[in-house]
Amino acid sequence: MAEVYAAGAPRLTDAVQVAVDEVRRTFPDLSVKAEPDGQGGVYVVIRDVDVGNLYTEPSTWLGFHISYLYPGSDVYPHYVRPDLARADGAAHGPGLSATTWAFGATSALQVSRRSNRWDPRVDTAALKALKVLAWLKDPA
Amino acid sequence: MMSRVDRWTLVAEERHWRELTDHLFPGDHDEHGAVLLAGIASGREGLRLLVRDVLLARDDRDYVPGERGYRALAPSFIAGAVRRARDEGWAYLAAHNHGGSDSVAFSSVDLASHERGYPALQQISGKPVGGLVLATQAVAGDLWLVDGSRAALDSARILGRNIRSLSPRRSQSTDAAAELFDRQARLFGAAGQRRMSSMRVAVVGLGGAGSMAAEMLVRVGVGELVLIDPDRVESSNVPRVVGSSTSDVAPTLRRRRFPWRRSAAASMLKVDIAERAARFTGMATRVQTLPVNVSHPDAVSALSLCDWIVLAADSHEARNLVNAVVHGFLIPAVQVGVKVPVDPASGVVGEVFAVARRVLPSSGCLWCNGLIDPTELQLEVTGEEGRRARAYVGADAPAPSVITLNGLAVSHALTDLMLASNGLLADPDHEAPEAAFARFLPRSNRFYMDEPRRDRNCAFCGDHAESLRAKGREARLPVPLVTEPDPPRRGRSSSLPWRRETP
Repeated sequence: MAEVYAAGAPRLTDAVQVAVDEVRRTFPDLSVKAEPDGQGGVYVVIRDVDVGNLYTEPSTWLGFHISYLYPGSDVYPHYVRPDLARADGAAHGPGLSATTWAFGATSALQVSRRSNRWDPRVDTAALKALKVLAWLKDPA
Repeated sequence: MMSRVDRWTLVAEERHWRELTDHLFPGDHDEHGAVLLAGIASGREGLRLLVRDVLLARDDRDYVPGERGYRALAPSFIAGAVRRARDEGWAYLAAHNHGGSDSVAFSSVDLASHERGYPALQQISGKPVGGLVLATQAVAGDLWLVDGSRAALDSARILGRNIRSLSPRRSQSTDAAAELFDRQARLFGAAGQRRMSSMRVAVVGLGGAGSMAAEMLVRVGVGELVLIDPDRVESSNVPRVVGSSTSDVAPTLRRRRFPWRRSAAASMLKVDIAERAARFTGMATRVQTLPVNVSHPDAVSALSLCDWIVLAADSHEARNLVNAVVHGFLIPAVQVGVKVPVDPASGVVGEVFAVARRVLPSSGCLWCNGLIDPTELQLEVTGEEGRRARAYVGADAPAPSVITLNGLAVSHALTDLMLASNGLLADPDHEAPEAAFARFLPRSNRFYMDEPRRDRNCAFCGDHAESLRAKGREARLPVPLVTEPDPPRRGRSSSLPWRRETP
């Protein structure tokens, strides 16, 4: 269920608002929290995202920051729950590292998947979230 | 409501001006017509109209025998152009030609037609409307503003390989340049030296390259400098920052022992060092210092009022913002930088290069040429979050930097700026781009002029309706949304040139 912005909350840029709407359409059955960053961008957290059977936990939250420069700027990095561990006991490979997400000073795993060919006319925050989730399910 | 103005300037890309003049002066010595659609921006003195598009009136169909004058734009052509001006938010400028070369003025028939037609056109479009009359080397203009006032064109600035200035009457002044500038005025001419003294140039980033650029611009006689950099000098900067000394750096020990006195013991701002160096010369250049980030409202406002921008900051945020100002306000820029690749493990030095990239609205867009990294942009503008994320791939090690390498890029960039501003760049012997990227490889003793790419679908320089090009005060610039800007720390107060967003 989508959350509603508080009255008087800082506005988002038009492009960021479109991105948030697209994220909500892409994950229609999940809770999508969108918190304005005060500059026109937004922090997004999608709850209870399925990550397959590679991990001990079947789901995680997925967080990311869409900045006021979007779509000129990449959406990078992404964050997931800090206790996400591989079911086979193996350590996480490159691309996953423990950190603290500045948004809410949240302990998290940072998912580092930069888009070297990010194209503002094609790439979107929702597509990037789907790509990150696909990689989480199969990081090989 | 627009404030009253009594003068205005026109800014056009060379390709648009060439399209217009090729149409008006085909060699038949007859009269022809066209309409220019133009964005609107504030200028230092009056308005600036920024040519976005040229609509050519076809002879005998769109430009027809007139009832009162020799010829006139056909009502159907005018209606189409005014509708587009209204729908897309452009000023409407009807253009035609007279004979002659070095001076031009409207005829009484022209002026009477303006008085009959322009009030109605202005009511339809809701924007300024006006007329231009051209001779081959002169242009005059009559602009009707939305507050009912009327203003004459001061000059037109044509942005190409050379930056040309046209006015209703070509200046015939034979005044000599001041003795101070005698040697360089022998190259630029007295008129060229006066042109330099009327120029306002911004330098973004006052590190090794920017401080050198500021020093050269002062000594060459530029009238006004806008210096933008929030940083303070560090000891490792002194070997490169022109005008700095070790005494400008706060002693580390003192800062450690008396942290509560940090502000009193702070190192000097880089913009203040550059201003001090300018004052030291005793020359007349006025200097405005802005110790703020480039996306701060005061910096953006100041940039939008400049004649040139020297981009000497190495951040992608600065590249993105300056690139947007170039295209939104039709202001030429040159980006300078040096790259010294050194393998961190082996210490092996790779191919060192220094670049000076001219950025014009028609050529050299930093986005089109892959010079703005979307991921780096994200990391730079997300503050602490970005710094932590970057730490994953390893802490940023200071990049190698040497004053002589900065000199290669800056010297070329400012030579290009001065020659272009005075019409002294030679015509290329082939179809060359108006902007080019100079690249020096000092280890190989090689020098290249790279031809920039241009993507017609680009959000900044593209030809589609949504692109930022020439939108002036309607341009949505890549800056944080603000409700109320911080009060300026120094310099005059400024109005925001972009559409303000309020919650």
